[in-house]
Amino acid sequence: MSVGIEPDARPEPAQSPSARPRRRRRWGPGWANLVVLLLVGGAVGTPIALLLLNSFNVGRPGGDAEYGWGNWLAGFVNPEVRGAIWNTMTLGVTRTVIALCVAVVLAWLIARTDMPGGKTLEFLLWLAFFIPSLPLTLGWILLGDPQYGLLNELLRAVPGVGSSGEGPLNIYSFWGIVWVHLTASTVPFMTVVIIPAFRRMNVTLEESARVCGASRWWTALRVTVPVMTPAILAAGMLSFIWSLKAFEVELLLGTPIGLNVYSTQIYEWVRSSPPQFGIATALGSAFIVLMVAMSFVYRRALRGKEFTTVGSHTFSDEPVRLGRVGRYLACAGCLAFILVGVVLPVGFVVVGSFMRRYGFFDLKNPFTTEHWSSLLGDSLFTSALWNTLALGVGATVFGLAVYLALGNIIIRSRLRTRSAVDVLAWLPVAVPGILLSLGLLWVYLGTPLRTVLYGNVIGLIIAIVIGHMATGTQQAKGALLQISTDLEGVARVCGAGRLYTHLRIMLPLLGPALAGVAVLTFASAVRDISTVVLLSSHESRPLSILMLEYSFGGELERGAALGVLLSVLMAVFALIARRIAGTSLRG
Amino acid sequence: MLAVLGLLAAGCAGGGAEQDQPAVQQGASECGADSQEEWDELVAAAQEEGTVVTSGPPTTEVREQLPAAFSERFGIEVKYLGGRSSELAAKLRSERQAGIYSQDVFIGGADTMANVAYAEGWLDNLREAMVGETISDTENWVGGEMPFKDPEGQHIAAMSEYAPPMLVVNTDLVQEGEVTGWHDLLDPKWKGKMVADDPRQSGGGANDIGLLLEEFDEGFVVDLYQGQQVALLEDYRQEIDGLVRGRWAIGISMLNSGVDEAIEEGLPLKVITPDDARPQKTSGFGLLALVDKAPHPNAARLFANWLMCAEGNRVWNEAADIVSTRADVDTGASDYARIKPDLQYWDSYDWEFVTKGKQDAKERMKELFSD
Repeated sequence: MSVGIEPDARPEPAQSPSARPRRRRRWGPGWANLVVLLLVGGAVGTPIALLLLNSFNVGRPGGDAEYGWGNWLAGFVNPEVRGAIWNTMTLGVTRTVIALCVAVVLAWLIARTDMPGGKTLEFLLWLAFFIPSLPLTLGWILLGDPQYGLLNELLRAVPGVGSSGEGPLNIYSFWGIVWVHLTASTVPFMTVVIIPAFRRMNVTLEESARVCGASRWWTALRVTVPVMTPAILAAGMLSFIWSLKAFEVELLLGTPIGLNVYSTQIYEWVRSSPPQFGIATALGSAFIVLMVAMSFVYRRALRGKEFTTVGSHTFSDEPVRLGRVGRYLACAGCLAFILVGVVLPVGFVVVGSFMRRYGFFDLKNPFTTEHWSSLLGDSLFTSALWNTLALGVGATVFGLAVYLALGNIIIRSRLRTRSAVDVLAWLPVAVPGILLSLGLLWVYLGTPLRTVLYGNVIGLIIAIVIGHMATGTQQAKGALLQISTDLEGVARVCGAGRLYTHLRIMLPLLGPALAGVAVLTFASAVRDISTVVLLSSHESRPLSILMLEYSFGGELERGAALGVLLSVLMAVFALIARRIAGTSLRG
Repeated sequence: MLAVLGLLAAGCAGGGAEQDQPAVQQGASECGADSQEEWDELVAAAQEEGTVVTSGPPTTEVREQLPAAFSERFGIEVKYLGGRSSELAAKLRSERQAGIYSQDVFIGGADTMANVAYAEGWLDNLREAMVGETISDTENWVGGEMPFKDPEGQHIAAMSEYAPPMLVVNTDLVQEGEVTGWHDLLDPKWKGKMVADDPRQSGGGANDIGLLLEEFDEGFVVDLYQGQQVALLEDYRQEIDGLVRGRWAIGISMLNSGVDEAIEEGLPLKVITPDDARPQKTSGFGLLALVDKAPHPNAARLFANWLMCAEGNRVWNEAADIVSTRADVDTGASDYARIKPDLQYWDSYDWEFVTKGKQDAKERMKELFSD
């Protein structure tokens, strides 16, 4: 059964089963299949293939290669792995399911209703996503530690709540880890990805349902949300894979209670001396298998369905009316979640950056600007800032072009290799950043272009674009699925060339979605450490490398200051991107 | 946002970070003093090259102070690559396999220096690179000789050596005299009240296991770490903050700079040197080596000489906040960290332990904790 069918579609005349309605334009001759596959496969597949090949190399590091199963056995025949797999899956499934429910509700309220303060709430969610996880998690420790956490101290003051000296909340627990992920990354990320899709919702589809007698909530559940399937499914899959790879929060909150996760095993092999990248790759390959399987499930779920919301007929994104009381109740609910889940820990990070010692309010003269002064006066700061801006803007511009091109190939073209391209575009998200970085290092050093690619910002830009490919491509795909090909057809009939059609019709329609792609790509470029650490040089290192220094040396305060600075940078970019792209499809 | 911009303006207007000028102690030997001609030739050749590339620990003070001091002294740029040793080694190996030799000098800890750089034959002869005889004179060194750690005594030298804080107690929870040695930790009242740096990972925690296995036995290690339910963490700051706040009463193998900083802030911590076993000594990140096929061999040699002379050695140890191996360099380190000549120490940088014993200790701890 299809959803999101344009409301004035007339029943098609009976056709033979073999006849197919022409849905996509033809894209070039057969050789295009090979060229596209080689380009995408080369960029994505080569580093991954090198990593997998190395995982079978059991020779001494630096010595002659010898091939065997030793690394795979060492990785998987490990008594800790079974427990780690169980912990990882339960954490990942739990937080993905909860986050999807919360994010869909938040995105619907912000983008599709007349709830007041939607833009502010959306901005706060972006801010939560921008702040690095380490200072944010430490903020939650200060709030939720069972003995000295501020929230616990407040709750224990209430008679009957919790025993003296401990609880009732405990951040060092399964649910503590889930909560920190939900508020720090999963819900904000999903909401940011899904909101543009909701903004392109055509109210005429909902009106048709209401005319047939459906209630407001039934319409939302059976019409609006199903039409958003591509974006929701993509957000869910991406978040699930990221949850499998996550380890920083688990390291801080899970290690004290013996809760280890799968990615911790990978992280330990990478950090060992000598580093065992072969074993780490063997373990990491499980993500690749899972990702390939999920990408097939994704394509299967969308096959044969229409998700067009913006067509050649009248478009309206008139918001759903919640009622005079309802809109304020909804706002209060969202605000409560965001205040507790986002503003509180983010506030701690900001305050922490001005403290002599993070979270120690009872020191004599607990506040200082020394950490900001030392950060801004760092001899590396200016060059790293310029590198960061170059990396961020470069990755965003290049990434937008690549992701839009891939989206068009996968959604609009009739290339026989588009399914393979779709799977390849998913792959980079399944590879842990440090391993992807190593694979790209081998690629860069192995080509004649290494003087151009290695040790400079260009190489870092390419690495970021590849690393972020899954997210960017899925966002572009989701946007393209919602826009009818009739619009291009109409433009062509009126005499517009392909370039004109793209510039004057498609890009403005895709604007809000592309703004989302740009923001997430920029954030990824600015915050990334694991992808750039092996590829950067003294001249090209960005500000994120300073974060590595601060976390290594336990300099939380300076780390918090840098986190705030990077977040301000990302927030400014986000505002600029939104201003350029616009947030509404209305004229 | 306006506040951040204001700080940005203030920071930039204030210029770069304050840079400590290297202060050479009165009477300390000057680099190349007894081979002035050779020294001057080396300086000229190094200045001709103009650059030296070194890797080192990703600590801000070292990254800022070391290059600035050397550059000011000789007019040679120092490109400092800070990072985790394991990651830097992987990068270097890939470069070398591609025929690229980008690095001149190594500064770091023993794990990677011994098990990767030395084992794969990346190191040049550091002893032969020293200029003159004075630099090797016995009175210049705490141990009576220039300290080399590799078996040949030619490739890996120690710029630093100190005693890490073995036991750190929260003085609000542990009374004076309650804990004086390792065996006091087996008291049931400390069960669940201790934290340690994870001995299953690369780092100081595994060194403690090596010490305890040699001074006592495996039974003691099991009774302590498993029996007393010691919490094992990897983040130094989380360990120390938890100790300060009273989440734990006793810390094992804490980071010396973090402990010193907390004590300076007036927080209730105290370092205990156990009296029922030899104390441990280590060099931390203070090992120095020359990379073979260096792109700037003369600048590398000059840099290495400077770091082993009093002048550069002081800059390094002050920036890293550890103790020098030179007898004529005093950085004002805490008393517990200084190597006492009348004490016998267990050396965590003993070659046998670094190349084999530490890995065995880590594996054994993994087995114990997976049971």
